[in-house]
Amino acid sequence: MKTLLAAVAGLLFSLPGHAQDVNCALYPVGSPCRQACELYQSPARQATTQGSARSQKYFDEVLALCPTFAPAWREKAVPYLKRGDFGTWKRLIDHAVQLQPAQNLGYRGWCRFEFLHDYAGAAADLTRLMALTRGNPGFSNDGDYDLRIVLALCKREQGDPAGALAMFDQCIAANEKQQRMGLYDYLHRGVTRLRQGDAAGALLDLQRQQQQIKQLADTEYYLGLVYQKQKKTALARQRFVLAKTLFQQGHYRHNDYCESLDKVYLADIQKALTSLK
Amino acid sequence: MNLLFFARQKPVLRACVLSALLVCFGTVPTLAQRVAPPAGPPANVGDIAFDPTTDRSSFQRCGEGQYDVPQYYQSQTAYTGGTQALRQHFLRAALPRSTATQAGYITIRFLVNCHGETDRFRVTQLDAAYQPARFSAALVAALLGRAKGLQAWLPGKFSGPGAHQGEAMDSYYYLLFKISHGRVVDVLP
Repeated sequence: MKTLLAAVAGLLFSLPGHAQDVNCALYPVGSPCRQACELYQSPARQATTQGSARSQKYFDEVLALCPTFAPAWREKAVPYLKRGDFGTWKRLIDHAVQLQPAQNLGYRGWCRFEFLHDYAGAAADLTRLMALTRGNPGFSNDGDYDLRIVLALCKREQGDPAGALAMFDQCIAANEKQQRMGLYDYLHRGVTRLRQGDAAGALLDLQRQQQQIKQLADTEYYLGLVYQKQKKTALARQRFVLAKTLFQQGHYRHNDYCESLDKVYLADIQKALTSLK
Repeated sequence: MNLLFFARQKPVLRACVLSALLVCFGTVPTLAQRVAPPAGPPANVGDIAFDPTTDRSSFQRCGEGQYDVPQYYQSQTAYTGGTQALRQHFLRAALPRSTATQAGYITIRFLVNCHGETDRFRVTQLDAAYQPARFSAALVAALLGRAKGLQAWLPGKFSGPGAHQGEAMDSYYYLLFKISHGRVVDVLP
């Protein structure tokens, strides 16, 4: 019964994430890499719990058959990333990047940005990917970000706001044209503009962000900061009060894994409200 | 648990999981009385076994032998005030400085039991190229001391359906310190 409990709890708490889909028909029938691919895609492998000894053993078996099978390197790395063993994660994910750079640089760069705030490393990966993909690096693993926005944020955090804004502008203009704006593109550019003292530009972006997501404490908080900077105290208070209400209702950005850039806390909102008194 | 993922699963798998959960949750109170088995090979990446040379023998896991310990993001383990409060806790008072040229990461990983108590701290150090590194012992000791001093943990909770939903449980957490020019410049996650 204990084993069953452990298995069930493992299933409950660590259902496997969606691994990369792979087309096994790319490999010759009967070849070791075809066998490796079919093992990787097998229901038995996919039913294992991410990070379990059995799951990791499957990846070892796949890689023993076909050491150049990049998806197994990548998936084998994931539990180390999520458990804070970044040295092992990096060693494993580097294999995937080396084997299939175009397919894995974006993921590695995103993880370095998200989990480690390794802005230089992420920027290097994403810049290399930009060159490989003619300026269209794709999206973050969670689907929330065009990777050009991530690259812009890396530049900003490395102390290059001009480079960041140029990248924001390029990406946002392209996405507006295709009507596929990212969830928080305007928010981040607005915050960047605000930091640079461009309150008017920030205001425009944050108003666009309001259209993108109707109720978000983060947007209202930063709008409040813009109005505060413009000495429009009544409007600032209005935004901060709304931000507090939305926050308390749960309408704020949250990431289960780590703190998102430009995240707003209730303490920030309360502090801003106090500063108006 | 990733509920979205769970919802996307095939009905047969969902039914199997739900049936198994009923068995699981119906049996936990009985198993809670059992003595923990001796430590074997890790069942999962990152499992931390008890080490009598560094760990407190008085620290108790609440779910020993009942369930695999989930990670913080699977059980919503948190610190009161979030990463902002953690950052303030660690950076409020000056920390020893490592060699000025050193950059990289110090990770402290540990268990948070269902009462919000912590133990089984493990430290790893990496340089900016993700290779093993060694920062100043004084800095590592200070970070570890402050990590052990954190008193406002919100333990993880059972998030699945069933009678135990919302109950506190053990979980793993880690703190990541980003080092630049020998100084701690960021605290994550």
